[in-house]
Amino acid sequence: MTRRFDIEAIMVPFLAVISAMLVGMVLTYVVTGYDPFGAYASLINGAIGSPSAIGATMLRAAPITLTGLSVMIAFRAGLFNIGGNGQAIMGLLLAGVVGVKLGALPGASHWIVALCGAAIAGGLWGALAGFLKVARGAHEVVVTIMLNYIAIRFGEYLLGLGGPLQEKGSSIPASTTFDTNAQLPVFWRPDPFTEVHVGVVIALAAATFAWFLIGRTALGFQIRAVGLQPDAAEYGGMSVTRITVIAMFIAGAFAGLGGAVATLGELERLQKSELAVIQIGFAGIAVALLGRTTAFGCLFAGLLMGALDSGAVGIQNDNALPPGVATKLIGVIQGLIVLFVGTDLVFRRLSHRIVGVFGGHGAAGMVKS
Amino acid sequence: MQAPADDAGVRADRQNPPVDPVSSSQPILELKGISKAFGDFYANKNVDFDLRAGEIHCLVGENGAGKSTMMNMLYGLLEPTEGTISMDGKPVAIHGPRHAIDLGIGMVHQHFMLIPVFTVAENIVLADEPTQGMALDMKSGEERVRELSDRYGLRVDPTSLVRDITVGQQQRAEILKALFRKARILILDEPTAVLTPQEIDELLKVVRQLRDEGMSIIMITHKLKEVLSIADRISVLRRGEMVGTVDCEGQTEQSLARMMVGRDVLLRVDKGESIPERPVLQLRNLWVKDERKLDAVRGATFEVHAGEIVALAGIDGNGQEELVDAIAGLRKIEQGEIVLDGENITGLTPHEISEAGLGHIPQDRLRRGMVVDFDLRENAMLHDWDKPDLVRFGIIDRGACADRADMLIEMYDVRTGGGSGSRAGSLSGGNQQKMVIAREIQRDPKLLIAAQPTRGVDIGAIEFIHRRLVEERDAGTAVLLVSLEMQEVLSLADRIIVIFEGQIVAEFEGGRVDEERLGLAMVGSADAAGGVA
Amino acid sequence: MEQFIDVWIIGLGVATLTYAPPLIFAALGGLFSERSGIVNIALEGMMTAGAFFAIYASVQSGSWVIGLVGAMLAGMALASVHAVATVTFQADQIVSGTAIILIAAGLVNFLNLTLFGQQGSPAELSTPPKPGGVSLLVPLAFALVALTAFVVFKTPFGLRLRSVGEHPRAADTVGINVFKMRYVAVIISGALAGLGGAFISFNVSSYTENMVAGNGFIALAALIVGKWKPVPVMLACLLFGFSQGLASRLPFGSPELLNSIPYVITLVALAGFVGKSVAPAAVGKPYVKH
Repeated sequence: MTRRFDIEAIMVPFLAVISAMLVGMVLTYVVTGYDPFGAYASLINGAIGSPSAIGATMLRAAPITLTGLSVMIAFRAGLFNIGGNGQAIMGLLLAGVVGVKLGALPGASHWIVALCGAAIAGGLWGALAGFLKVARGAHEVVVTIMLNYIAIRFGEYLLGLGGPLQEKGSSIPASTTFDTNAQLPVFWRPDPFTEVHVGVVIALAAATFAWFLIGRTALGFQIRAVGLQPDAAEYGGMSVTRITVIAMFIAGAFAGLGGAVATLGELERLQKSELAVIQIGFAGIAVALLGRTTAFGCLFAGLLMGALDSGAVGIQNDNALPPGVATKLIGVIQGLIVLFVGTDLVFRRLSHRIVGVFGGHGAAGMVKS
Repeated sequence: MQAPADDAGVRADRQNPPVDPVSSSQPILELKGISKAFGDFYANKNVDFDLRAGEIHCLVGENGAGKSTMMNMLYGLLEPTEGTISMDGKPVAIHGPRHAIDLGIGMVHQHFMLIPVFTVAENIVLADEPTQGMALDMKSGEERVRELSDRYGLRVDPTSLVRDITVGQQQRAEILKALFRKARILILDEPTAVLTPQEIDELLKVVRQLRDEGMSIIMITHKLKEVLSIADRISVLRRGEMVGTVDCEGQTEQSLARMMVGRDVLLRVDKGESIPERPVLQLRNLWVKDERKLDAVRGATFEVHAGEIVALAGIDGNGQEELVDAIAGLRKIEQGEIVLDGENITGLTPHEISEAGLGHIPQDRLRRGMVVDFDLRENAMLHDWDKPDLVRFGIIDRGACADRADMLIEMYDVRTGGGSGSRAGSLSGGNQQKMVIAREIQRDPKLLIAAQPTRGVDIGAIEFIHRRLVEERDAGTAVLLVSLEMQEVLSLADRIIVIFEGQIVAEFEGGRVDEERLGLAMVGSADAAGGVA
Repeated sequence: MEQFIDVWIIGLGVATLTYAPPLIFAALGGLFSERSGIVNIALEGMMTAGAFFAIYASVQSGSWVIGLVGAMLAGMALASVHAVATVTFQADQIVSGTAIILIAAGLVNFLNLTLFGQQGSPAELSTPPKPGGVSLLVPLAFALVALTAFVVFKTPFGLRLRSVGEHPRAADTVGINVFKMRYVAVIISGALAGLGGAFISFNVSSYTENMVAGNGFIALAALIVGKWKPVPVMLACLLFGFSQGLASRLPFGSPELLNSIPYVITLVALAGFVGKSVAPAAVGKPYVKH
């Protein structure tokens, strides 16, 4: 239960981030000809250089920390949840419905109900993938990819012209604005344009909850056993089927929350055009891998990824790179981080699980006569 | 049990030995001083072996004696740690399977290397495909397979998919694969393990014919009757070392069994008379299937009483694993009934059976018995994630878990690197096993199943484990010991039941049977089963 | 009546032949990769790279042929990364694929903005001719279906490719170099996915961000629905292309829901409700030698 301090657990992500940043630097110089040091200085400044920069970083970190936790929980159960996008969309759609349609809820209960609804909607979308896996043997990766696109199309239908959620009489494919009570309350305004809302607190609470769930509860114990060694879990009397579905529900709920936080915190209404470009599920994969699939690791990784995102804005504002380029560069860096961290971590984890210390097809087959 | 007809057939063959079995004195293949180490463990140690041209050389030995390791080195799948392999008198280093094939070595693996969704012919020609221009010429491939199959009487339809044909036919396809590649040396790794008696007869006929046409054959098996009926010479491996090579003439099942088992002094276990009480485990006509959907346990019926150790003896793969899994609820029961201390547990979940009073030391501790990446506290509570003394309102009481793990570590003298916080995978095999045993015994079971409890465990731990099992018996637990080690069975069991091909074929009183009779019963020899219940 | 024929028969036919070919190219790419045992969810990223580099190389060289070569090379470069990660380093194939999707999206748009600026690629560039309104790449797509069917099922290479995806150890024991086969297959898949991307961008004579828009994942879906066989995969692509074409011209109902048909069909196929779709047995598992 105690995780011994493991230098490697810090070093691998650290080296991955550094290497990815270095590649980004070379890319910046070779392709744009701009000064990479200047660009990176702007990046750091934009990420942590002022209270409002820090606020922006926190705001960007919140949703991807939540989707990171989603990927993390599924990963602990031995599943690859690539469906964070779809679960987030189902979550934000339900949050949007609550925010728009239930105009009468008093005070804080409105956004709380909206977030709870989002968690349930995302959770059910995730549980569906878990169910198809255990009941029908459908691989969760392809299933969740398909569910992502079904969620996008479903949302586009709801918000499209004439769709049930689209504002009546408007020519814009979007919902009416959220009730003010449904929008996430702001608790810190470092400057007039940066409004840090409770989504940040929710992400922090979610990470703590996930840490507690995984490490301290019987359910988390079962999730980890099923993920590490399903045969041993079965021997220990656990239902691999049940745990798989529950874990995917929880994973989906985190992603749904992530979608709702991004929406109710940052936007005034749901827009059809936003759905297809939602990437927080994918970013969650990067966060989970960089955070070495631990709850607080996800929190730190989420902050780091959030810092990169807000740093991109810093680069933009300082004109340290050609217009629009900064966010793309950050995309490359995030991808490289996944590649570097993922190849190492997962190589070790999988080699452990597949080859086994002794029990796989490799060693045992050779020694046995 | 072997059918009497089969028995007669074997004897008839023995009366007509081939005219000139051993033609040349120069060995076609020679192993000198071969060792293979995996870490500290020697799978083969200083092994000498030679194969003469045109002979059938049987390699026998118990499970884990190092037979497959030796053959994998010959086929280039493993590299020897020490020693030389020579072919036709010249030393060779075999770099890989392709190289082995080029040297004229063919191998039929115990687990067939066939692609289920390919046809027989496609499997056979793979990597040596006949072509016409750029295209694959399967017509001529099938033609050549058919020729070979007619010539050697290896009947199999080249156009059938491998997944649609019988295991016997698959094996013929494997042999054809070697013949197609013009092998001079054919290695057969436990070729009869998966076959029906009729298929075995047919296989042995083919093997003889191949030998008569000049092929040199190494056959690994532990079925002594087959060895005696087919071998020209026999080599015996024991615990990775070569005991010796003998001519088949003049050998008996008894003499071979003695070589296989050795003359080591029995491990002494101090134990008093057992006082069997009420029946705790009752199996009635139990039928269980294996992964391939074949009947693995066929109508097993027996009882284990409180206060006795019953050993289920048998050669690996005769249904023991499936039987234990069925009792523990880990495998579906096709037919029959299991009663645990008066309660019918047939079809219950593993959790319910565990609650009903089963302690289970599983055969494969690294797959089932413990979560390798969990620490010892977590492993100590593997069954008990819902017990109120450890978990309240779904929250784990970490102090209680640590206390329990510490107690188990202390009582069973588990040597750890970092106490109960150590990762299970960081412990030695013996200490891992002690931890599993500690957990299972501490749950105070009515029935304790110990499946190969000392596999991969050092001598000191073996004695400790044996003593604990006897103590548990004396405390009134029913103990079912499943073991492949004859010595363990003989030294621990109050009663021995022998399983062969999924059936209980013999029962002996502990201490009233010698290894030879037990060994013969384990290989399905009808005359050994004098003590059938 | 004539209008009906124009809009519905010809219009839908042309639409299908616009939407389906990129799916066919990419799905055939996926077929090579997965037949060898390597999952390639990064088809989307490789298509994105192909879409951009087709335009870039065409602009630079003035020749759409060079554009196609550029698209293929870009796809192959990303595929090589996937191969190194998954075959040599035995990384999780999904993680590597995810990384490549992220890298491709970032890098391509980065290059697009830096090399072409915010106004995008020049309006005038060499694109494949469209005799009768149908791009030359369309017949190429169908020719590649036939070629793939021949290579995969009628040549020694194809037999070895499939053996490696089904039972790499068996392939190894007869002397096939599993690693080499997988490298070759993954890189072929990159080239084909690149062509698929090129089709999309050449079709509108320019590259715009997110223009691949999930086509790589639909190709993956077609691969599953088509059960990893070239002709059924092509039919699935045509069906999916047709449903996209239909959605774009339906006067009633919801185009969005129609557009989700490929994904729903794939889910149903995956769940085994319409004849189980069985992947190559060893797909997704790294091969570790003895």
